[in-house]
Amino acid sequence: MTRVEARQVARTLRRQFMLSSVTTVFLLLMLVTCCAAALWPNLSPQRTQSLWSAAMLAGIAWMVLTVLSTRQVKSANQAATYLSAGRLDLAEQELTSALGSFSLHRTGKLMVCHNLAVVVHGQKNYHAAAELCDAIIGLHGNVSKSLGRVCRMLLADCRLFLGDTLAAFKALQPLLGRDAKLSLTEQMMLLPIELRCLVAQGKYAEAADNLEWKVQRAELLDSFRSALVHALLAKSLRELGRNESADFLQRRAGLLHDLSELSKDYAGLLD
Amino acid sequence: MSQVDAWFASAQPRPRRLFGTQTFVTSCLLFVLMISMFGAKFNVPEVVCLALPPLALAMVVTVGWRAGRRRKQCRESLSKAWEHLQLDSPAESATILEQVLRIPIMPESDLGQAMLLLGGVAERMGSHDAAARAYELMLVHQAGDIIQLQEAQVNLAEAKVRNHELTDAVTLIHRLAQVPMPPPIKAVFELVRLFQEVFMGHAQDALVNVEERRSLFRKYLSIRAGFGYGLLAAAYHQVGQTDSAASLWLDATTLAKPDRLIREYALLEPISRLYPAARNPL
Repeated sequence: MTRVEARQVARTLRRQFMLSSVTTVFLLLMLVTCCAAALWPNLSPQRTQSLWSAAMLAGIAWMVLTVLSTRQVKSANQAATYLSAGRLDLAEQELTSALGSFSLHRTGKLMVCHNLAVVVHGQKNYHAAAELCDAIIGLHGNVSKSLGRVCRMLLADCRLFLGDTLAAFKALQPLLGRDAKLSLTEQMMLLPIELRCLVAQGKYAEAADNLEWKVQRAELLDSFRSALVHALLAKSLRELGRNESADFLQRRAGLLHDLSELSKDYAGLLD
Repeated sequence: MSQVDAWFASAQPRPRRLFGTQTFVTSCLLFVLMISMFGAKFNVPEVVCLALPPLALAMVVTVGWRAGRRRKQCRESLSKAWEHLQLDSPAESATILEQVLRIPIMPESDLGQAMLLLGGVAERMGSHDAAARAYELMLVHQAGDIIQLQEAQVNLAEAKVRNHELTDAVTLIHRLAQVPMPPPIKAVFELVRLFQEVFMGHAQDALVNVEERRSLFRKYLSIRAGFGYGLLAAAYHQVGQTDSAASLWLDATTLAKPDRLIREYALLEPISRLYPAARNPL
């Protein structure tokens, strides 16, 4: 997916959100108005019957559209399966076609778009992934806070790979306060990205702050990301002159992953 | 163990009951529809004919919404239980699981996750027979997806070694060795197999394919690779290769503190006394 295509997807997403809002409001208005009008006294039985039928029609339409909307969730889950099997092409295909269909509920649509951003990120197409994440963050409002948080992390990761540290930090800002209340999984996702931001900006003291907590979280990560966090903490400690701790963490990082490979993936950060 | 059985019994989905409920609800809906359409012929008041369909619709929507909410709450609780287990608080995890397992859990993958967590909690609390029972129940009733069931088999093999049911454990491990597995589960399986070999004093077997094992541990076990290095150190010690044992013990203690290694594998206690551990300045 190119950057232009990602923008197109973002535009389609905005349009569909508008459409789903209009449909929801219309169906609700129809339901409430018809029910209220049907209860009005002195109406002819035929008119009352028609109003009830219209209310029923609105209710049934809402139910049918809800059932159809679950296809989006199914597509998102199917794509996640393809993703875990490493079939990014199939996942992209599934998600792109799902994005084209109508959904009454926003969460399913956002989930599909988020999974597409993950796929595009996995293809190292950071510009397109950032476009999609930007669109989700702009649209998500209060629909799904968790999805919004994950998208912010993904966006920051993309920005870091594109060399825009400030934009990455800006994306992460709402997640860094004490009142962010992240789950453990989110904390684990955030840690390597936050540390990359801090080290790239030369904020070594901040990176090495609360060291025990960070090492404990790093121990829960997979080998690659755990090695990255250990290496970043080691670099920060070395810059702060705490060489013994730095050597220990560096040795741990080496036991977790090939350090030369890590330096190649994060050139400029771990030199 | 009986507690594990009771929890599993209450958490298992009941297809017959579900089918019965679905049939009852569908019949009620059909009845409501008939009344609203032909009620006038049987002198049913008009207001009843008109009010029944929207009420039935509202009921269906409410039931669907409640079912979705319950499923969401169950997933959130399982996620919390997992967090506590990761952060070494098995008691808190057990409290949450006790609540979750009181009512039927759907879909199967959620039930599988709950049972894997229950097994993990039991293991962490040192109750390996209860852990083995949780995994056995999962396997007997096929509760979980294919990956969860493979994980349960590997965990069951480890629980059996810890319970000294060595014949069963060896049979299961030999069977699992023939089964293709995704690499992360394969890495855990190799760790279990290594533990069984070292536990039974088959050090020579443990050191076959040692590089392949090390590479699997490094790639997929993260900090838990330290347990693998610790067990390999014990195997090298058993065959008298003390230099290799010392080097691996140093690697193991760099990744995990000696007391944690001993807590997980008591057979490493003599190794910790013989070889120096890495100094942890943190």
